Amino acid sequence: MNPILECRHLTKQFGRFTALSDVSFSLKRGRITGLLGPNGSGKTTMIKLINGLLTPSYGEILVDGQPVGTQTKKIISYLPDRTYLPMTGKISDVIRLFKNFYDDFDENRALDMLKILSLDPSFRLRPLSKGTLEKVQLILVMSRRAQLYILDEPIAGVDPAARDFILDTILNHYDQQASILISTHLIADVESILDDVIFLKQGNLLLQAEAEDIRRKDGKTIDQLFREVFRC
Amino acid sequence: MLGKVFQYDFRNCARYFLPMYLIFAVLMLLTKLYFLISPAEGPLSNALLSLMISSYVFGVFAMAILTSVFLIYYFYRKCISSEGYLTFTLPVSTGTHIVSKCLNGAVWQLFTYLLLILSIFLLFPMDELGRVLRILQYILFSRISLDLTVPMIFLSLTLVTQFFAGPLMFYASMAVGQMVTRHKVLTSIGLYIGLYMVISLLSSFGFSFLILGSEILSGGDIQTTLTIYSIATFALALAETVLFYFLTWFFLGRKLNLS
Repeated sequence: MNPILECRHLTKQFGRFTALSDVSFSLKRGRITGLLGPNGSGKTTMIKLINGLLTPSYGEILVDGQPVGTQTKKIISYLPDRTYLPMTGKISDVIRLFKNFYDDFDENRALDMLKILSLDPSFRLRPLSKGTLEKVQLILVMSRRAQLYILDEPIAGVDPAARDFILDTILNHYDQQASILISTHLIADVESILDDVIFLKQGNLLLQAEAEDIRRKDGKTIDQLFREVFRC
Repeated sequence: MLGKVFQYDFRNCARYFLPMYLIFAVLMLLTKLYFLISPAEGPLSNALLSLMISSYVFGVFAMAILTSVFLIYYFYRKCISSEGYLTFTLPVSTGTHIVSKCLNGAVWQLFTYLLLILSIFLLFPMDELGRVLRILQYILFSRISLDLTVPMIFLSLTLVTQFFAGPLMFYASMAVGQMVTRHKVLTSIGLYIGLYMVISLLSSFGFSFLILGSEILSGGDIQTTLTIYSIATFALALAETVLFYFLTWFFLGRKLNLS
C-alpha cells in the first residue's frame, strides 16, 4: 500500500531564510504521527506546504500518490494554527459551508459534538472566545471522514480541560484507516497517542522513528528524548 | 463547483452591498419626495434643495467608489487574510475561485450601475431626458449621419469586459503582492498604481497611433475612425482581462504564499 504522504527533498526559502532544508519523509496509512520540534523549527511551514498554502522552493509532495491540488484537498482535513472561519455568520453557516464543499463531511457528527460543548448552531461566531472558536474548528475538521488529518498545534494555548476535550475529540472521531499528522511542542500531552514521531530542528529532519522503538531501544519517553535533543 | 462558490461569494457580498443600496434608495426617494412636494422658494427651501442635491451627488460617487472598495476588501479577506486558509484548502481549483469572484464582481457592479441609472430616471423629469436624447440623436444621425451600430456593439462589449477587467486588475495586484513576506497590502497598492500607470501609458500611446493611422487610412472619415477606435477599445479591455486573469491565477495557484 502506497504511503498517504510523501515529501521528497522538500526545501522552502523565504528570501534568504531557509525554513525547511531538503526534508524527505513518508507517512504510513492508519498511523498517528507527531511532527515535533521547538518553535521555529519549520512544523507549520511543512504543514502549509502539504496543504498547498505555500509553494515549495524545491522538492515534491505527494498525497495518496498525487501532487498537491484539488484532489488532495478532498482527502486532507486540515486544522490550522489560527482561526480561519468567516466571522460574519453563525456556526450553522460554517457547517453548511463544510457540507457543501466536502463530500465526506458528516453533519450529524458535527452537531453531536457541538451538543457536548453546549454550543447551539444558531450562535454567531464573532462573540465566541478564541478557545471556543478553536473547538468549533476542530469539530468541523474532525467531522470529515478524511484519509489524512493534519492538525497544526491543536492543543497550544488551551487549558488542561480543553486539551482533554481536544485529544478525546481527535481520538474518538477519526476513521481507524485514516492517518493523523499532529504538530506540537507539548509532547507530554500527546505522547500516549503517537505511533510515529518526526523531529524537526531548524528546518532539518532530525529523526523519523516509531514511538515504540524509541521507548524500547533508547529506554526513554518521547518527551525525554525531545528535551534531550532540543536542550538549549 | 463554480455554482457553489459563486453562491457563497454572492451571499457574502450581499452583506455589504444590500445595506449600501438601501441607504442610497432612501436618499433617492427623499430627494424625489422633495422634488414632488417642491416647497415655495425661500432661503430654507433653497438650502434644503442644495443639501438634497449634494447628498445625491455624494451618494452617486460613494456608491461607485464603495462598490470597488467592497470587491477589493472581499477578495483580500477571502484570499489573502486568515480566511485564505479556508478558501485554499477547499477542494476547488484556483481558476474556479477567480472566475467566481470575477462573476460576482461583475454582477454587483451591474446592480450598482443599474441603480444609479434608475435614480437618474427617477429624479430627473422624463421630458428633459427625452429632449437631451433627441438632440443627441439629431446631431449624430441627421447632421453627421453616422451609423453607430458597429461602434455601439463594441462599446457595449467593452463595458461588459470592463466589469471583469476592473476588479481583475485589483486581484492581480493582490495576487502578486501576497508573494512578499511583509507589507503585503502596501506592496499590492504599489503594484496596482504601477500597473495602472503602465496600462494607461501604453494605451494612450497605442490609441494616439491608432487614431492617427486610421485617419490617414480613412482620409479623416469619422465613421471609420470611430469603428476602429471602438474595436481597439474592446481589444484592449479583453487583453487586460486575459492578462490580469492569468497573473492572478499564476500567483495564487502556483506561487501561493500565505505566510
